[in-house]
Amino acid sequence: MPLSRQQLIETLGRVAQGDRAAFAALYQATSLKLYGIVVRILGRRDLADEVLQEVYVRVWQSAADYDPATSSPITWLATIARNRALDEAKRKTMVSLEESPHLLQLPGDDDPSANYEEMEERRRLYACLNTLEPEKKEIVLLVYHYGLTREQIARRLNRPVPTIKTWLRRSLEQIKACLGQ
Amino acid sequence: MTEDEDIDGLAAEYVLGSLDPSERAALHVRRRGDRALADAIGAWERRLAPLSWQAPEVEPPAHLFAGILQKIATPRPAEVVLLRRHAKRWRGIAAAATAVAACLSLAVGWFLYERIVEPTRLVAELYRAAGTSTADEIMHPAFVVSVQLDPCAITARPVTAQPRPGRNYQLWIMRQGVPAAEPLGVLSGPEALTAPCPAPIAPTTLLNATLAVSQEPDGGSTTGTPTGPFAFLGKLMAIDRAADEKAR
Repeated sequence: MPLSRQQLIETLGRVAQGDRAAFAALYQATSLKLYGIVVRILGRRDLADEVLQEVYVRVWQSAADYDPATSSPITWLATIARNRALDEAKRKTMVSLEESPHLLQLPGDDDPSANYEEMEERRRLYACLNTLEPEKKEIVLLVYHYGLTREQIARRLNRPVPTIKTWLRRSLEQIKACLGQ
Repeated sequence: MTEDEDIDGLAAEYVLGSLDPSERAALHVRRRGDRALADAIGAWERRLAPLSWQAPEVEPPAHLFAGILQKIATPRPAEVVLLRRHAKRWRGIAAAATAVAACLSLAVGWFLYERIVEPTRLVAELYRAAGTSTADEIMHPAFVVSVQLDPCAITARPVTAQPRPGRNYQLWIMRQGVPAAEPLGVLSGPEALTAPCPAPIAPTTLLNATLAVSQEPDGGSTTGTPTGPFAFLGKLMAIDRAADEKAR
């Protein structure tokens, strides 16, 4: 059963107090999304299983650190999951991207489960992404969704690594300027 | 390119995920003591967060949650007080968890508190920060750290952490309002380390402070900062109301 933003904030508050029932409710409400993030980056279910467990142990240990004034609960949770999955992806040999091109499918920019506030934030971000050249927009999205390094992108596009670094930095600067944040 | 722009570019690539493993590991360490970098990373996480919401939902295997419950079965320090107050409720929750592992772990945790941290006021259990933990590391902390508030002294005792030849464990504290990790001492063997608190120190900055252990060459880091990523992490918490009130 999906929880609203306010319900998630309250649930995280109870988790910070050591409430295991609240922790179970949080897991039920968010694990599908967090597992989706982790599986997409790692491409391997066995690694994703380990990482998801570590993510929720981390959530249990650091729920008191969550500050609703700083970010939404799902952003805080997704950031923990993404960071942990990226760390693991960089540490271990991933599925060969060249052998598994199907892994590199980019999601569409819709999400039927999103609330109005999330949809508005996504619309603004995509408006800025759409100001990039198509190839550079694709690189930004591939890196974000699959955690590809500059070297992996360079091999894939047959371009020098410094060129990819320059493209990424300029694209990100452009996004920041566009968002005005 | 100015220093600020460089920090922002690094933060942006860190959040995007394009840094190679060594760059990423270096930023992990640097962000703990570099407020400007940490703030820039936080800002980029918020900017790009809408992309992470788009991940397709995938059903995790049913057994995963039982494994998570097992890993969190050892009570956090603050919970010891709660458990004393709400023993009846705990029994119900514990029964719902994987019973044998949870009870075993609880017994071990209780034993550790009674035997090791009885005379202290603030405690932390440090667990492996990343990577795969062994069964022993899941059941027991790598280190137990206790803090006596008056006079302020810190004691760290290895539990499952094993000394490695040519390497020492070094204990650090990261407190709110203090930008960099502060070294507390080096553990070179199985013996406990006792060190005075870094002076001046206010009890209010100890509650919820993060303790961390890095692996360093013999004698510890010579730079005043960790030379690698933190291997073990934990948070200082009060174990009774008096200490909690004193530290608040």
